[in-house]
Amino acid sequence: MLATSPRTAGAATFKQGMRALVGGVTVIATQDAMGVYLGLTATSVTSLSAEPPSLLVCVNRSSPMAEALQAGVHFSANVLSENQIDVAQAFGGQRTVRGMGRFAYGSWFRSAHDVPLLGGARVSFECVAAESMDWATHRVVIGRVCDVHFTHPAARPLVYHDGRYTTVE
Amino acid sequence: MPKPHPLKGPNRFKLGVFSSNADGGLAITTVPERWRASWDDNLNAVGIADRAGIEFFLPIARWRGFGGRTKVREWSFETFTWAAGLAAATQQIGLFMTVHVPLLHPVYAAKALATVDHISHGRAGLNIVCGWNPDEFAMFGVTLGNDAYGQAAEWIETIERAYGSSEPFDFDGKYYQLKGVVSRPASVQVPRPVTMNAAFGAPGRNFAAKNCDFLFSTFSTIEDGHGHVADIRERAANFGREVGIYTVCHVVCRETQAEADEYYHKYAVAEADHAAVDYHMASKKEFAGSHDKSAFDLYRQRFAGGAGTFPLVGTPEKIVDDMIKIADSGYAGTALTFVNYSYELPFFCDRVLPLMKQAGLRVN
Repeated sequence: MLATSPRTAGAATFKQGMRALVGGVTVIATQDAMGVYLGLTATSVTSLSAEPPSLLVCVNRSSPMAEALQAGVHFSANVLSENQIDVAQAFGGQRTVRGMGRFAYGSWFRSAHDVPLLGGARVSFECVAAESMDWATHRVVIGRVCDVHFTHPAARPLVYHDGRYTTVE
Repeated sequence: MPKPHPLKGPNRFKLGVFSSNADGGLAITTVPERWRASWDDNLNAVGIADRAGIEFFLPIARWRGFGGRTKVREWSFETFTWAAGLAAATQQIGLFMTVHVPLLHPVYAAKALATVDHISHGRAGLNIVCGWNPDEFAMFGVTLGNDAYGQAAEWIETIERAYGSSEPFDFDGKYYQLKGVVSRPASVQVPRPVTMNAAFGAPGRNFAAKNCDFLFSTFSTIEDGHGHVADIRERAANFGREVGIYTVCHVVCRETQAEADEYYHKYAVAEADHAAVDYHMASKKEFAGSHDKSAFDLYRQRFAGGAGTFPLVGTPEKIVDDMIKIADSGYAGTALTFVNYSYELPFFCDRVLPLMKQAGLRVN
């Protein structure tokens, strides 16, 4: 055994294990410097701190979203409702729509600061990207939360678990 | 935050009301109860539809009529101001505006559309029309271009950039050369209010595939409709997009089939405004490219009944059966017309909507 090689589980085992982790489903959305709207389904959105209110989002570094989320850029993290599976699929690349075509799914509205927010979501966090760090294939972005839109908090949440979408009471 | 746009709602088969802003609606008839399209008529009809959960109201853009005894369509309300007025008087229904691209500058259209989107809290929609009637264009001193959809592409791009840019921008296109464009407020909806188009030919359908959320398509038989759906889906997929496909139907809904057939014959054959039907059919056949040829040859009654659209004539059960077939062909919904919207919408809403729910076409 080589002393320099850290112990690591294989990627397949890791993914299999992660199927057991129950997650809410979030769509990250922003407008890039050219005025183009970008959106991406992410299950890795995490509460970071309450003072100041901030959260973490993780996106693949090869995605246009990673490129767009530079420090100072406004974006939204929209927590999906039970009936928004099609939105999750469209922004997760599981439908045929591409690029801006994804915004045909869901009803999107502009915040006072020109950030796209998803109508019918349970809640939308309006954020400004503060800092980021890269780890292997992914970029971890810290978003400072500047507004919270309680759009449809009574709706049941969309949940991703065991490779499929479901909900909880 | 606004509620989701009605056209993004949960009903499998969505419903709208078409052409209530214009004299006669889509009918070309002399019956005394024909639609006069007064402002109060419009308010009354939209109120019925709004309370019943009908998804949208869609106007036609008409600048002159088709003549005949009734000067049919000569009276029509301009659609931005019409939608703005209806937006303030309704709660949940989607409100389209219908715009002739060559007759309205995109920077003006961007602001007018955004204004209605704000009044309605995100319920606005835009029907992008290139125009087909040279008599109307002559009123503006404009000739019909041969690259109408090329111009339309620049037109909608200008509007989208105006909404998406917080800084002024220049636009250097073939049809528009614009300096320092800015338009605030932007629309409430992102990236812009929902858009639709009703093109039939290849250039128009490619434009819709790239730029519109919904495409309206007429058909002679429900079986023909399936071909249009496949064509449009394929064109949209080429742009990585999906386009919802809708149709338009004129409706005579009565307790019995005999009553419905009798009234359809009365208003669309016996008491049609024949001179106006002749003008409309002749001009559309020559210029529109908006219907397939058999519609012109076979369906004069359909022109008087509803400008060549498909007839839904019969009992509530028969009409729901037809709508199931249309939905099964891949259509996401239909816009409807009536001889008199205020008289006929209540019966339609009371009797047809519950059957649609039963049939799985609607959840509310």
